[in-house]
Amino acid sequence: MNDKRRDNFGSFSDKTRRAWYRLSKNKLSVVGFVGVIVIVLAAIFAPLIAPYPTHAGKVVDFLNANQPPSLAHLCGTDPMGRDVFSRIVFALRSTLLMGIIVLSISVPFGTTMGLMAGYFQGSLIDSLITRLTDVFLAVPPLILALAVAALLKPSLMNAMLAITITWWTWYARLAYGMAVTLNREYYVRSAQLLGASWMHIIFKEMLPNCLSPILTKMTLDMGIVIMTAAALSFVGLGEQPPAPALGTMISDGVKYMPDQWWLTIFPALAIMIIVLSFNLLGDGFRDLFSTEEKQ
Amino acid sequence: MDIPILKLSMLKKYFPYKKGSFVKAVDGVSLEIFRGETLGLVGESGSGKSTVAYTVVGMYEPTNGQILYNDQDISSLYKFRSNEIKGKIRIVFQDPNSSLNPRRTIRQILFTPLKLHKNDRYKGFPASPEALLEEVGLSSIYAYRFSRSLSGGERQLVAIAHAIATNPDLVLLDEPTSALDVSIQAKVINRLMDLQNRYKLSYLFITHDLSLMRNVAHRVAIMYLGKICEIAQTKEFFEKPLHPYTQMLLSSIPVVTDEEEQLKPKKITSRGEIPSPVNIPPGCSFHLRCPFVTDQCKKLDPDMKELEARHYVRCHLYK
Amino acid sequence: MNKEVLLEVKDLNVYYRVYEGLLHVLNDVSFSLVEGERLGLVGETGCGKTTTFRALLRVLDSNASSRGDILYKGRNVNKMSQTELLNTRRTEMSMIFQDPTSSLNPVFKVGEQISSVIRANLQAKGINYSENDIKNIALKALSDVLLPDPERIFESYPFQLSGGMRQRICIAMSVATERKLLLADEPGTSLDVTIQAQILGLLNNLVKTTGMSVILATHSLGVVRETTDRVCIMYGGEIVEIGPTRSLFANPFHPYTRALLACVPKLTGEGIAEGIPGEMVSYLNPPKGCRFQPRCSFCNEDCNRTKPKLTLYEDDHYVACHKADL
Repeated sequence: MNDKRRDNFGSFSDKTRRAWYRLSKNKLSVVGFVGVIVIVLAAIFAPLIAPYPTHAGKVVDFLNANQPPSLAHLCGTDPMGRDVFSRIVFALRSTLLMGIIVLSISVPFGTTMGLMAGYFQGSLIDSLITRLTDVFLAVPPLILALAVAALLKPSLMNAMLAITITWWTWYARLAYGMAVTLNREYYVRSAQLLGASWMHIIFKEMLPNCLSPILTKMTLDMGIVIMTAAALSFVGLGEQPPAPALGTMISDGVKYMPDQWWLTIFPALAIMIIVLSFNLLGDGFRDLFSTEEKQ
Repeated sequence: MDIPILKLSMLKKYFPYKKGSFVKAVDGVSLEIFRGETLGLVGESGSGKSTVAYTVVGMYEPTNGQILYNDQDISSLYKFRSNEIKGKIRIVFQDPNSSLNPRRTIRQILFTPLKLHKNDRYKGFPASPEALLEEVGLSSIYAYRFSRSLSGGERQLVAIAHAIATNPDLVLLDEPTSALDVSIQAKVINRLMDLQNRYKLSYLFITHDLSLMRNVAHRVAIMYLGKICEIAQTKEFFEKPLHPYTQMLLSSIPVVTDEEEQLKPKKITSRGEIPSPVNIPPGCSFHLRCPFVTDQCKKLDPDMKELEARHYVRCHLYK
Repeated sequence: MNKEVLLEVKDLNVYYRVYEGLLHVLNDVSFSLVEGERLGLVGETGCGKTTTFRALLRVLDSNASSRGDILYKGRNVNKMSQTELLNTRRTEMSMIFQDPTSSLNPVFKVGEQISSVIRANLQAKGINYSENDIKNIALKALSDVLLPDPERIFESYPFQLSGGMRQRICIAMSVATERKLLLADEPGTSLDVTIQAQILGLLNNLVKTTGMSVILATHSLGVVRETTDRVCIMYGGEIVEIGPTRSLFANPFHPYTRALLACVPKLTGEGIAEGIPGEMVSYLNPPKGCRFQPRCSFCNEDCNRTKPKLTLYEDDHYVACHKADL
C-alpha cells in the first residue's frame, strides 16, 4: 500500500492538531502533558501563585513555626515559620532550571559526538569518541558530583556542571546507534556520492531523522535529572540556603518525622508529581512517534 | 568513431566472505555505452547487475578491471573522484520510499545537488528545485511537501529530478519502476525517454522486466552469476536470442496479447533454484540449469565471441 | 457442466474510519467462484484487492466495517459466530502473502510452523492424531509443492531457504490442510521471473490435482492472463469488468481495462502508452457516478450522475460502464 498518497501536507496548525489527536488517544499522556504545563507555569509565575512569596528568602516568623497544614498554610510551615507551599512553588524554579540547563548543554553536545562517531564508524574519530563516551559512562553522576563538590564549593552551578559532564554520554550512545543505521539509508549514500561534506550529512540528513527518539529521551530525562538534582541537594550539594530546594527541604524535614510530617511529605510529593508528569509525557511521545512511523 | 561515455573492461568486484573465500558478485564484465544510448542490463537476483551499477557510480571499489569514463580511467579513484565526475555519473535507486530523506522537503532535497554542483550547469539548464520539478512533469506545489505526501511514482520522479540536477552524462537506473504500478510506470518511463532526448543522456537501465526492456533499451546485455552471457541490439536480442539462458528467460515472460505469445521462444522451464554467487559452479556457471549442457560446459568457462555485427555470446554452443 | 458455487460475494461494502472522516473503499463488490476455478483479481495499488481478501476472511483492521454478504458454501462469513469463523479459517480458507519472508516466523523451524497449522486444522475438524501423523502430513505437503529433500526443509529455519522455497512452504501449509479456497495476494511479485513461473505453475497443478479454488490478486496483467480462468478488473474499490480471461484480454471493453493494457510494455516493441491521466480516486469523497469517470476519455454526463452496474457484454463477460449499452 505504498503507492497511496497521504494527504499529510497541511499547515503547521493542521499538523499540530493531528499530533494532538494521536497523543490524546492515550489518556495518561494527556495527564502528563497537563502536569508539565502546570509545573512550568507555576515556576514562571511563582511570585504570583505563592501566597507568601517572601518566604522563599530570608524571612523568619517564629510565631508561626511548625504549623500543620491549614487553610492559611496549605502545606504547613517549617521550623523558621516559612510557608512550605510557597517554598515548594519557588523551589520549582531551581528544579526546572537544573533540568533545562543540564539537558540544553548535554543533548546537543552528546548528539553531535554520537553522530560523528557513528558516521565515521571504524575510523580514528569513532574510536576516540567511543572511548571517551565509555569513560564518562562508567562514572556514576552522583559520585562525580560529590567529587566536584569536594573540589569546588557546593552550589547550584557546580551541581549542574557535575551532572552535565556525565549526561551527554547517553545521547552520544543513542545518536551513535542511529547514525550507524542511517549510514545505510539510500538518501545518505546519495548525498555521499554527490560529494556532500560530513557536516551536511550529519546535520542536514541524519539529525532530522534522530529527533524523535532524542525528544522522547529528553522528556523522560527531565524526571531523572530532577531526581538526581534533588539527591544532590539532599546531601547539601545543590542550591544553598536560604534559597528553597526540594531535596534540601526533605533532608531538613527528616529529623522532624513523624510529628511534623508535612515538612518532608509535601516536598517529596512535589518531586514525585514532577517526575511522573515528565515520564507520562515522555511515554506519550514514544508511543506517538512509533505509531507515526507505522503510518 | 565516437568515444563511449562509459566503457567497462573485465570489471570485477569480489566481496570477502568467511573462511577466506569470496563472493564473486561481478566477475569480468565488459560493455560500452555511447552518448544518448540506453543499455539495458537484465538478470535475476544474484546476477550482479546492481553491483555493476554501484561500482560504476563509486559506491564500491573495483577489485579488478577498468572503468573508463569518456576515455578517462576512473577505476582507481573510488571515493576520491573529482566533484565534476561525481556530477556526471548519477544513480537512481530502486526503492522510491527510501531514496528520499523523509524529514526534508522536496525543495531541500533538490537544492542539495544544485548547490554542490553549481558550476556544472550551462545557461538554460534548470537551476532551481521548481524548474527541476517541471522538467520531470511534477507541479511546483510539491516543492514544500515531504516525501510521505507523495505517491511512489511521484517519489521516483523526484529521484530522477535529483539525478539530472547536476547535468550528468550517464544515469544508472537500478530497477527504477519495479515497485510501481503499470500505469505509473508508463508515466515515469515516458518522462525518462523525454529527458534522454532533450539532454542526450546515456542510461544504464537495469531491470528484470524483459518486456519493459524491449521498449526502452537500444541494446541489451544479460547477466548470470557475475558474467555477461549475451549482448545485442534490442531487436536482435529478442528476435534471435542465442544464449540458452536468454531463451529460458524470454520463454517465461508473462505476456498480455496473442501476438506476443507468438514471439516468445519455445518454453524452457528452469530446473532447480538460482545458485547464489557464493557457490559458483565450475566451468560455465550456467551449466547446472542449461538444457543443452555438454561435457565441455562442465569444465571450461566459455569466452565472449562476436557472432554477428555487435551481437556477442558467451557459450560453447557457438564456435 | 455445473460446478458447485463455492463463494458468492454480494454487494460487499467496506468502510474505514480515519482522522479525515469515513473512507468508502469497497463499493458494492460482487462476484462468485465455483469449485476448482482460478479467479484473478487485477488492479493497481489502492484499488481494494487486499481489502477484499481481508474482508473475505474477516480480518479487517479495527477501524474498518464491512457490509454485504459473503456466502461461503451458503454460509455468510459476515454473520458467522467467532467459533464458526475460526473454524472456517482453520479448515476452509487460507491466504498466502506477497512477501514470504515476513509470512514465516524466523525463530521457529519450518517443521514446527507447518505442524502447528496442521494441528489446529485437525483439532478444528475433531480428528484424533498423533505427532507422527502430523509430521507425515507435513512431509507429504512439502513434497507436493515440489520442494527437494523435505526432511531437510522440515528441520531448517526460514532464513536458510530462498524466497521461492519460502513461498512454496506457505503454499504447503494450505495444501497440507486440504483447504478448499486459497487467496493468493501477489504471490510471485517479490520473486525472480523464473521462480515466479515455477510458483504459478505449481498453483495451476494443485488446482488440477486437488480441485482447490484460487483467487489470485495481482497488479500484473501478464501473470493473470496465464494463470486464471476468469478475471475481475478492479478500480477504486469497484469491479469494472469481469469475464473469462482469454476473451476479456482479447476483447477488453472498459476504458480502464483498455488503458491499463495499453500501458503494459509489449514484446512487440511498439512503445508504451503515456499512462492514465488524473489520479487515483479519493475514497473520502468518491464521485456519485462512475468512479473512473474523472480519468475516462469516453464519458458523458450520464457517467457523472449514475453509477454503472455490471451488465452482460458478451458470453459471461460483464462490464460496468454506461457505454456498454451502446
